[in-house]
Amino acid sequence: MVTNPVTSYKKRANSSIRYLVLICFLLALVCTGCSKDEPVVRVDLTKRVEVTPSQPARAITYAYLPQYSHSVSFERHRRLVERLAAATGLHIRQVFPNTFDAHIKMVERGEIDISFSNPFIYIKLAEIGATAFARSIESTGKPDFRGQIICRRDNTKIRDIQDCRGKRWIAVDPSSAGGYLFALGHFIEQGINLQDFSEVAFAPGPGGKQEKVVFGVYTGQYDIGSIRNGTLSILKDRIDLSQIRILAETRAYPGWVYAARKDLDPEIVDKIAKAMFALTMKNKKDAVILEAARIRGIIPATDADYNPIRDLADKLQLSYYME
Amino acid sequence: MNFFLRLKFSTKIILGISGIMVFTALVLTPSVSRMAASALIKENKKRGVALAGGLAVRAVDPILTRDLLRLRNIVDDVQAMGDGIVYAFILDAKNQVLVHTFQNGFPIDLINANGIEKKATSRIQLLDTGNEFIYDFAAPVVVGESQIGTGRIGLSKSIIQRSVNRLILTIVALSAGTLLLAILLGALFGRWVTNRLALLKKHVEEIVKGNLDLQTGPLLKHNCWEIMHCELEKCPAYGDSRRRCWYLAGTMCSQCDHAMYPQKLQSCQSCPIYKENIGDEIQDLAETFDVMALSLKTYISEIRNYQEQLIHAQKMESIGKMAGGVAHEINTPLGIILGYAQLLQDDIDPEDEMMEGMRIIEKQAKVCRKIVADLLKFSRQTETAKSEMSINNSLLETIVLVEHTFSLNNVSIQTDLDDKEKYIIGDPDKLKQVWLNLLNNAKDAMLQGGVILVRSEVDTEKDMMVISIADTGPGISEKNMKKIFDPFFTTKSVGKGTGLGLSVSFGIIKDHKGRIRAQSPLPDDLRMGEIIGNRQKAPGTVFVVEIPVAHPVNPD
Repeated sequence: MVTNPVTSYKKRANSSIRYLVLICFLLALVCTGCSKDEPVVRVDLTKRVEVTPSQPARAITYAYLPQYSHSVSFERHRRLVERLAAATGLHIRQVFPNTFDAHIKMVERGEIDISFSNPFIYIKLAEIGATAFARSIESTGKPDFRGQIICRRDNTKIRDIQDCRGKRWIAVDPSSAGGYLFALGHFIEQGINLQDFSEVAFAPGPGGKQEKVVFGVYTGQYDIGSIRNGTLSILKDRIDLSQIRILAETRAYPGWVYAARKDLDPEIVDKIAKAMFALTMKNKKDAVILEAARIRGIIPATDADYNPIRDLADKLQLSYYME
Repeated sequence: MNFFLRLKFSTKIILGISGIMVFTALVLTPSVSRMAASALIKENKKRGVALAGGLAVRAVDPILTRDLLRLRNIVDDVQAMGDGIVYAFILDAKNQVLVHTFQNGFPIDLINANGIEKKATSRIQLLDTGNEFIYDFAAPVVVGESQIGTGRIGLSKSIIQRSVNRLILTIVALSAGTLLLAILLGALFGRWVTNRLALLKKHVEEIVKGNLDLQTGPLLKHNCWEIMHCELEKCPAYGDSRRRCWYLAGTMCSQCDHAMYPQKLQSCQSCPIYKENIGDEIQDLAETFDVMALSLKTYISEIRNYQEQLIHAQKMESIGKMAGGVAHEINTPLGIILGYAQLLQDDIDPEDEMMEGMRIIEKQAKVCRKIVADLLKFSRQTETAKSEMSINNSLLETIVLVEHTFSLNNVSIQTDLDDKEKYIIGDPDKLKQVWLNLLNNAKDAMLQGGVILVRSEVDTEKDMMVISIADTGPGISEKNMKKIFDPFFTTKSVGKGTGLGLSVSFGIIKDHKGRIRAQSPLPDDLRMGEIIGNRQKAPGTVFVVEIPVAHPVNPD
């Protein structure tokens, strides 16, 4: 048989191409999953140094009463502290006491220069030499706030404050000023003591306690409830407020207060106070700072502004407002 | 290639399976290993990111309060969390080390080895310490929008690599194990297939040698009558555990197609027997061989039968021709002997002794003439006068002739004649001679008496009149059965018969284009019992004569 050399060559070529394709396919399969080389940084772990965290530089210390976690406290007041530092040229930093008690102790020891606290803590701070120099304007737009006693509108058994005797009372928290202490003071003024209620309950936590009081009354679980003013307006979209009646309102008490520790240079206090008073909601940048701190402005204050709180504390026989 | 062709089939199977497995293992193991390793590294990276993230979250409060003891506890906790964590440390916002897990000072190079970008949630950097590779994970410690520090964790790549190596080793070991298992299974499978093929080959060789009684297909474990709870013993599949029922024609299940295999298979698809007993192609092949062997056996037996019949016919033909020739030649001198014997008697005194001799000559010459005449009839060298005639009439006329004589010998004749008989073309005298022969044979067989049944039937399919003359005699042995139509064969004592009766009958029936055969003992389907009752004790014999009808209905 005679073989055509051209045909034979073509056959060989075809066969080679087939093998080549097969090899490529196998290589492709084998290479599936190959990882790329990662960039490497060369480090010498033998170069050791002893590290001692440097103590922070001496600065004016600013503390927010720790009613929230440190990160919340930090985030709420970070901008304000930065603004105060910028405006006064002072070095100011936030410090974070772990408890209310620690806050008071740190003020006493001089570790907190500027304290932002509630009025009950302030009267305690005042006892150890701190002085109020400014107070915040509440979210209501006023520098002070009240407690409100509420009941259901259709509750015919409760017409005035005296009808609250023998009733079930739900309050916000034993340590809540607007949600309990102000109302308790009001009841005592009216000659009604804690023992006169058939039940005194506190809203289960955590979070939304003021709202829970309103719901407790709204659903008829409790006869009366005590809340701070402004709470009802927050709930206007969630419950029918026409079903709720405000039975009584306590007198107004001053709100949160800025106090300078004992022996803090009055010049520094003055500088800081001025920077605080300069903040206004009308200025967009200021508004961001104030909103972050959940206040609407800062106005001057004196120690005498807190006498009603002292009276109330005496009346309630509170040593001081503890966590 | 030739080498591969020369290999045994089982070796080829093993080689094929092993080849596929080796190919699969070679191609897949590296890629699967790489993919698995990559997935493992990714998982470890995710773990590192999660650990660093957790470290950063937990560090928020202690950084804010500068609680270094808590920070130290946190980094110690992280390092204690697991194998492979080389270090953990926390930097403050100014990249100063707050706490770390190193002994004897902090490696200062580490601080800037993995710088996290602003707003990034994590960063991974591979570090080379000279001794080992470490994945460094950095996560920012964030409060709101401010980064107040960084949490850093080091995961040893060698420990991850160790897990990866373990994984790869496991995959390779599994591949090798699978390969071994495949080879083993391949060998078993190959042997199983080749054993079955070898059995097929052996049986084909046996078939070639002429042994058709082997069974190649396996015995059925569940027979059709067991599966269907069937009791139809007449069904060809009943009791046949060698062949699956779809190979058999005429099975009697209601759903069975009456066609032959393989057309029949159409109706078998939904049959529970088919589903139970269906095998693979090799089993099909084996059973096809069995069917082929059985068919061959049947055909061969039929061919042998035909061959015997042909040989017999040819023998009879030759004997007929020879006998006819001899008879024709003897007939003339015999006539002369007889004529002279008779003439001489006229000239001899009746009292003479010679007269007695002449009478004996005449008598024996007449006997010879009868024999010669019979031989001529057998060889059809006598004239025939055929016309359309009734078989029943012919039978009845013969029976009337002999009935009385037979009854003296205690032999009764019973008739079962078909009313719807059809006429045939035949010679009435010669046919009567046939009936007479058969009836006489029957009577002679029953020395103690008995019953003769004469039956006529129309076989409409073959267009034949079938006449059966059965007796209740001792029957004919198998050895004699083959010779009964041969001329001069007789079982009667000397002088009782010439042995030409059946030969002559055979010649007459053949002249009528018919067939004559004998069967002994009596077949069941003759229904003798219905007619002759319990008197049938002996095996009996039946002679069956088939003569074509005068006016066939079927074209063939």
